[in-house]
Amino acid sequence: MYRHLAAKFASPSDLFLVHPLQLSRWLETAWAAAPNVPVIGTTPALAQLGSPTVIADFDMPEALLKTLEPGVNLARPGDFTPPGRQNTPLLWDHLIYAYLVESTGIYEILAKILTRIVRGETLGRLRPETLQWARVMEELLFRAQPNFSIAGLHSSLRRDGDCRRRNAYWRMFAFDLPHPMSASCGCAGGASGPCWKADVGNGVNTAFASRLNELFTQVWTGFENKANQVGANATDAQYVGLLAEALDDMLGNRRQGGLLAREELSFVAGLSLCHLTVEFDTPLVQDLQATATSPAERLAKLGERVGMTPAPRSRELFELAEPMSSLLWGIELGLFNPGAAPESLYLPNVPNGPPTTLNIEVNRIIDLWQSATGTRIKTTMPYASGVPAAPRPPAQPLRVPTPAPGPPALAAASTNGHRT
Amino acid sequence: MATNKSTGGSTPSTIALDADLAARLVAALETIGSAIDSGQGNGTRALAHPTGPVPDPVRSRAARDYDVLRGVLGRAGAPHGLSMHRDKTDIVVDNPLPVSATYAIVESPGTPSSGPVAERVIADPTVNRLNLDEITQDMSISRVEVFDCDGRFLAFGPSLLATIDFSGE
Repeated sequence: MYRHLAAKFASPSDLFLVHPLQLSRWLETAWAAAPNVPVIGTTPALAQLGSPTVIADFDMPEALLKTLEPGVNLARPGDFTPPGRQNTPLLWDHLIYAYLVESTGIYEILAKILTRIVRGETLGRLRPETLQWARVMEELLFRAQPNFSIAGLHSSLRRDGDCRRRNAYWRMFAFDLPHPMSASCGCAGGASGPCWKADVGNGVNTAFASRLNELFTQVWTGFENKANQVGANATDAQYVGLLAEALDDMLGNRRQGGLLAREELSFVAGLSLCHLTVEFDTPLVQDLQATATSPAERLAKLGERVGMTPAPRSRELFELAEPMSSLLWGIELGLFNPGAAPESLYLPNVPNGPPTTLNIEVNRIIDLWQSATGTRIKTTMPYASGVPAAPRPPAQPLRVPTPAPGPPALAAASTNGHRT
Repeated sequence: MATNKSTGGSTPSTIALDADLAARLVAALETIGSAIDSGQGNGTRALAHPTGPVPDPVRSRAARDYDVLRGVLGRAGAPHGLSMHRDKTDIVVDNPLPVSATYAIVESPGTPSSGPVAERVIADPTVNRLNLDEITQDMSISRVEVFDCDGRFLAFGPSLLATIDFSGE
């Protein structure tokens, strides 16, 4: 979300020089502008959010919204620009983006760094830009958002941000974060189970992971057979469509009436600030001598400075976050349902033609997903009739290649983002 | 012996076509016709895809939908979103159009009487205005897609409301 805005600056890290109130207001206008998103597929506009009226239900009346425009000045981040006509289509990332980025342990590591910055001088001399970063992050991630704002989820009923995010991940995907809960939440366990699983009832998509793995397996079968014109072809586009539709329905059930829309916006926006911090050699990364060539390596080096270790598969998780978000939105928009074009996931537009962006991204997602989760997708049983044979050996290793073993923090990752 | 056969000479033929066969013939002619694209401006007619197979329209649409989705999510390398607004029958592009923009396809759900309407219009980066003929002010716009001369998808616009409400409500 904020990465989208950051990309408009001459240097993306200039976003952290913008006043946090302006960034908060920008999020408010981004919510209100969601109806500008063009119609994609055959789904009615905004139906993927669970209700076509969810934006209007929760947005601020336009006149009130205009009383305090964000006025982000792209040339001079510290200034205010009177807003012109703006209705650029913009949609926030899918909740899976927040889950995957947070699974790296980035939130805990940055929280620790911020704590050290605001409490003392143990991180050495920091430049003014880094202190501005710290202010933006503290204001937007670690305190309650302004009253009545769209991201204002904090209340006496749900005090803890970690709990709120874990609750959403659990309901949507039945996924827990791989690292333990921080000590900030007083209800992180106990006889009745963790707080984020309390009172959810049956509203949990427990079959999400199995359906997704099955979809990926079927899509990979399609990739394997896309040029096959003579042998048996196990590809079944309609079954791929049925799996996509099952996932669409499953996620849609959690969104009925517009549930989780505000949470999703708030969480992906927050995690995008974390992602942006390590996406480039930002002032913080430079000040803490954590410059590197990838977000995962920067995060590992930042973690080292505060005695923490990110998730062992951070590299895949960072790279997976964006394409998985696009794919799940595509599924929720019904682009791959039966009757639409499920085969477009693995077939190019022209027979034996160049792969589409969608083909390339889906193949990449499968590589990264099996590497990040350890679930082997790219292997198949032989489909020849007769006695079952031994599984065919996989064509590639389970894990994607990584640079030569780097800092020990990345290799010894058993704590998985947990404080050490 | 059947006699529905031309006997030659100047007598008009008396071929009786089976209705199903006729329908199939018409469909086949329409398919061939759809591969022919009238040239722009000079009235020449050329094959839309003179070499190689014709892209699958359903898959092409899904792939383009996915490109729009990546664009609205702000992905690097994806077509980018443009701000636009309506001015009478035209669409005014508030951001600069990509310099290589050549044409735009504007889609509208139309009205109950017209049904969905899609219109191809010239996209001139020096003008930043799309002149619509078939899509009228009482039709909302569901999508605007901007392409270059090679058909590369460059940018897209927002959905826009109708500027005149003829529904009487």
